[in-house]
Amino acid sequence: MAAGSIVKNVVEYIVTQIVEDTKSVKVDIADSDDENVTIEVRTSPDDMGRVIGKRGRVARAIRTVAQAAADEEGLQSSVEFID
Amino acid sequence: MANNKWVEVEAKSIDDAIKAGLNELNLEDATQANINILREPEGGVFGVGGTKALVRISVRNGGSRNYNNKNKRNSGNKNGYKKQYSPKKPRIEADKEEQLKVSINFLEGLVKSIGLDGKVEGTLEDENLIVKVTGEQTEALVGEKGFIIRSIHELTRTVVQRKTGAGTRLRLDIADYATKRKEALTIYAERLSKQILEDKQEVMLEPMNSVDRKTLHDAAATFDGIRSYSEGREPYRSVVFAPEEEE
Repeated sequence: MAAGSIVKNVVEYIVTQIVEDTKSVKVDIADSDDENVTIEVRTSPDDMGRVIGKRGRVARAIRTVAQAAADEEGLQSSVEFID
Repeated sequence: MANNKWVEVEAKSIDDAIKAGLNELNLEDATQANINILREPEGGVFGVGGTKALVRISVRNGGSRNYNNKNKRNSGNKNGYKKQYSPKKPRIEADKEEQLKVSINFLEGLVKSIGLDGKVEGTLEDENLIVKVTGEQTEALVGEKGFIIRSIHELTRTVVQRKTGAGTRLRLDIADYATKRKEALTIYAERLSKQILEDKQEVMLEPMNSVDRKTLHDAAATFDGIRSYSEGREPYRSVVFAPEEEE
């Protein structure tokens, strides 16, 4: 399994649970090495607000849980939400 | 939080601020609201000049239910009266069983996606959803000072809100963290209360979330001669323990 794939799966799972239009969810590993993984999240424009949440609360929670998953792989994760 | 509508109002006096806030929230009187005085008015003559009062008012659960019932009755009227506009989305009555199922499913999926071995169980207590995640590895989901558990709580609530259209009162415990935290805080509150009864001085604790603050207030309530209140704004709101004022 590629480095960061657990993180990717976790983020994909959470985002899919929150959005309306699950088919438009795209979660990719944009970059990864031995220590870091960068995840990019794309959704339909209408759903991005849900995923980010009021004052970014949901986005922050997603990042925290993503890092918890990354810890299991010994990685630093960053999650980017792309408009 | 759909069932936690709140406003912050600034006015010359606390009374004025409360009145304006209740009005804004469509509440009839203060018994339907939780009122937090964030700042007392200061200085000035008859409220002119000086600092204005700042009050935060939120819909108390009972109050918000009444409000919804009222809406329902209105919409049930024989097609006569129809509101021109509705300022708030009528809240869908929460199906607690359904919400519990959604919470458990979400958490099971989350634990699995991280690759941990955990068990998720839930029950309903009054209006509250109580969900527990157990299993040796699930401690990884607690985090330092409950950092991660709070995020998982937030996400679970978001998913429930999203899938059932209604807000929820959820208590989430992972690897017994919440239980242990409650025990530790209660013991701490006991020690602190004894010390305050001796020193006769109030003590402000470090900022805590609402769950921890409630634990402390509950503990304070069991001690004669101790009162407690919260001060400051989220996320820096703190509990203060104080000796009961003597007459």
